[in-house]
Amino acid sequence: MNKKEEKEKFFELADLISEGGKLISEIIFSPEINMEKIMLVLDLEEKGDRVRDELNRHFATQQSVPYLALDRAKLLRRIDDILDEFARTARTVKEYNESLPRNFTADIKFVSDAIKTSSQNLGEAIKIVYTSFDDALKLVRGIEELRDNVVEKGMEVEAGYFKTSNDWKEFEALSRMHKRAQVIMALIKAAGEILELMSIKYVG
Amino acid sequence: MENFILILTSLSMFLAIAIGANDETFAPAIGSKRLSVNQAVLLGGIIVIIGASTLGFKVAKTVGSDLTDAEYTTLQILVILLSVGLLLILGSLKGLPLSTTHTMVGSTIAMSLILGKSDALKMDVIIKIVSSWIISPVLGFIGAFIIMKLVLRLKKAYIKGLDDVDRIEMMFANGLLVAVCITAFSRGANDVSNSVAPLIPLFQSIAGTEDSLFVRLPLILGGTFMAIGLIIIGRRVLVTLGNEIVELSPTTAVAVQVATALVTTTSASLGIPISGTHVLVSSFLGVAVANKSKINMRTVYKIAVSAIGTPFAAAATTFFVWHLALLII
Repeated sequence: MNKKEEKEKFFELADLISEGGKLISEIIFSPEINMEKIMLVLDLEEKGDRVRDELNRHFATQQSVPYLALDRAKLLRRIDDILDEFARTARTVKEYNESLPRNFTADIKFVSDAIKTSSQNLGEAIKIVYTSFDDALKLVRGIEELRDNVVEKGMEVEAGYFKTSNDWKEFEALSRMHKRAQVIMALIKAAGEILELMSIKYVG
Repeated sequence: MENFILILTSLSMFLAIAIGANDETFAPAIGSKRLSVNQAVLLGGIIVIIGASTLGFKVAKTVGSDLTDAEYTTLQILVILLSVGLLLILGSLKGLPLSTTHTMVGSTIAMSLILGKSDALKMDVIIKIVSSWIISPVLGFIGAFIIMKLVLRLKKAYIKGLDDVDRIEMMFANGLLVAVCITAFSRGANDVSNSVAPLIPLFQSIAGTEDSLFVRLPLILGGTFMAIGLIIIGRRVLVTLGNEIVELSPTTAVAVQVATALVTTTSASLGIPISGTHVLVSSFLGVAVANKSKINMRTVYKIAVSAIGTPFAAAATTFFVWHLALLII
């Protein structure tokens, strides 16, 4: 695999992140189970695993400049973690979302929007880092702001339902999905941090 | 006479193996993964032979015949060669980069003192040599610091994204090879003198001339046996030094190599024996400071202690081997 092919593989992963994030944002807090979208997310994760394995083989056998390969290998692991979490969330949606409170979606919409936006930002940042560290940094900082917002307000919404809900099943489903959302945001932020570190390392 | 030449030459070649085993020239290339260990020792071996056979003659004259007016007996020369060889082999097996120059000069001076021939020592030459041991690491540090700062400026000006990083690091990785080869050539010239210096006056005397193919034969053989030492034992020191002082990228490794090449090439062409080891290590430090990289101070401390202690260890080894030889004989 040459440098161009390696870059194309990362672009492929960036597209998977963007697409996966959009799908997850549509299903994560929806009380209606959409099996088609759930299966699409699981397919994305499998595709991601294949690309990951190809890149891992490439990094393991690369002889020159592995100094750069180490950073990219870290980024690859973070991306893989995100896709794995998308798949885990899709499976959780299949089991628990029918128990979600029917009026919950509107209150928690800002979290699903944040997942979609930050996934797209990360996908774009992974591509743009090849031509501009500065532009990638701007996108990454946007992800951090979104995540901070989600952490603070998401807990308020969940706590609010805890106080008012009498149905333990509803609350349990809500709590599980909210936790998945927080984990996704944290993983996207962690991937963004790798890009941030690369930018700082290479240009100071 | 033939037996004497044979024994002396054999011992010189043992010393050449020891010197080759402690050659750390290719450490930056291995540390930055531009070359594998096998590639490094093979390439290094070839270049060392060429350097030793050509430029080595100029350096050899300084250590061999210009350091002292004392004329050593066969036994005394054998003791010097054996002492230095033993110390270097021991250091190599422990992965320590010892200075062959420090070892050789320390042993030669020790022998003069043991024999009570301190008056024969040419103090002006010794002072010149000792001064270069202090000056060359300083120059190595400063040179590497300046070069690294220039490299960082270049990176900041030209690197916008990862594509630029790939291009520039690959360019430096290829440039590193050139710099490493130049350094290895200079080191071959510099270090071969430490093993064959006592032979040069002998071969000159037999040939009846100061320079001829026969007079240069020790250099050619010395270079060859240095290559053997590097290939068989030298890899330990290379891996230790390349990986245990500071993390290297191709750009930082180039700064190290260019600074080292400049200092060692200039010194070899002027006939000044310097410690290539300490030029290289000080270049690592110069680059690390300029790049604000983390330095493994434990390794630096170990090398610093061995640098200061090497001439004394060489003197002590010479003393021991000399008295052992007297007991046996």
